[in-house]
Amino acid sequence: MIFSFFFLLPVFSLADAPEAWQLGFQDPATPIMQGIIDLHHDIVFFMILIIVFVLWMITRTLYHFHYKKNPVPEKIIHGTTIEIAWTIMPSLILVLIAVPSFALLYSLDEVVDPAVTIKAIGHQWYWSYEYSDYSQSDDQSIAFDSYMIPDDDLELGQLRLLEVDNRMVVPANTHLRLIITAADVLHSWAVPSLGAKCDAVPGRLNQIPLFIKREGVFYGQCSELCGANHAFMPIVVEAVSLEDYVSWISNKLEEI
Amino acid sequence: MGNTIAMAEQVLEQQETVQDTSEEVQENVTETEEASTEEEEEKPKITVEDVKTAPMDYRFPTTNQAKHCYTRYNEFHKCASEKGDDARECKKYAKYYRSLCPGDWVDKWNEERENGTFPGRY
Ligand SMILES: [Cu+2]
Repeated sequence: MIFSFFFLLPVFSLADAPEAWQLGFQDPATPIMQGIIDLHHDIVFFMILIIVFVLWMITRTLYHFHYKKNPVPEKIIHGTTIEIAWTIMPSLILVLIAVPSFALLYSLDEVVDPAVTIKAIGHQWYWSYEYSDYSQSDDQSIAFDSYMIPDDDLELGQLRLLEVDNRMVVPANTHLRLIITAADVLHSWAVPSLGAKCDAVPGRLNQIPLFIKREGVFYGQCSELCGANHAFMPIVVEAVSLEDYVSWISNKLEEI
Repeated sequence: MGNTIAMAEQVLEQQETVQDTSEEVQENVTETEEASTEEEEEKPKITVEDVKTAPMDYRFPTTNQAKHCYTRYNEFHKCASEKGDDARECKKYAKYYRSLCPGDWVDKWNEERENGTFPGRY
C-alpha cells in the first residue's frame, strides 16, 4: 500500500526524445535550445495580449454596431489620432519582438574555439561519423556508420525508429564543432534537445557549434526529405564526461 | 530576454576560460610531443590533453567550411614541399585538414595528386 503512494509523486526526468501526443518542446540541453524556448515564450506572451485585445475589439464592435441598436453606423468616418495609434503600436510591438529575436539569431552562429571536431555525413539512408582529431595519417581516422535498429531487433526500453547501432559519442560541457555534409543527396542533421538543425549538402561542409550542458542521450531525425527511407535514419547523440569520452576514443583507436 | 543575456555572458566567460586553458594545454603538449613522438607513433594513447582540434580561423567565418578544409590541405602540401615531407612544422596543418575534411575528400585529392590531376599548386 505504501508503495502505491510513491507512484503518485511527480517523477522528474528530462525528455530528450519525443513523446506520444507531445505538444511542447523537448527539454533543452544547450544554451541555444534554452534561448529558442525563451524566445518562443516571450513571443507567445505578446501574442496572447494581442489576441485578447483584438477579440475584445471585435466583440465590442459587433455588440455596439448591431443593426437594431445602431441603424446608421457611419457616424465617424475619419480619426487621425487613432490611425496614427494603430500604425505606430504594431510597429513598436514588432520591434520589441525583433530585439531578442536578433540577439538569439546572432548567438546561434557565435563561433567559439572548439575542442573537438566531429564530421556527420548523410547517406541514403544512414548517418556516418568521423573523428579525425587524433589520427596520425590519412587512413587512420575513427569512422563508423550509424544505422537505425529495426523494430524486430529492439530491446526493452529502446525507442522505436529512433535507436541506432552506433551512437555519436561526445563530451559534455565542451565546445564542439560539428561539420555536416552529405555523400549523395540533401539530408539534414537535427536534434531538438540540442537546438541543432543543419542541412547536409554534398560538396559543402556546414559547421555548427554545439555546447551540451549535461550528460544524456539525445535523439533526432533526418529532417530533409531524402528518399524512400528518409524516416529511418535517426540520429543519437550520447553526451558523456570528458574522461569517458577519452576512454571511448582510446578504445575506438585500438580497433582501427 | 533576461535569460538570453545571462546566457550570452556565461558563454563568453566559458570562452575565455577555454582559451586560457587551451593555451596552457598547447604548451604542455608541445613539450610532451617532443619527448614521446617516437614511442607513441605505433600505438596512439589519448589523454584529456589530446582533446584539441583545428582552431576557429578568422579567414573562414562562414557556415560553409569547405574552403577552410581545402586551404588547410593545400597549406600542408605547401609546407611539405618547402620544408620536407616529414617536417615537424607541417604536422599541425595535416592535423587541421584531417580534422576538417571528410575522409572521402582527402582520399580523392590524394588520388588526384598521385595522378597529377590535382588543381592545386603543390
Ligand atoms: Cu536523410
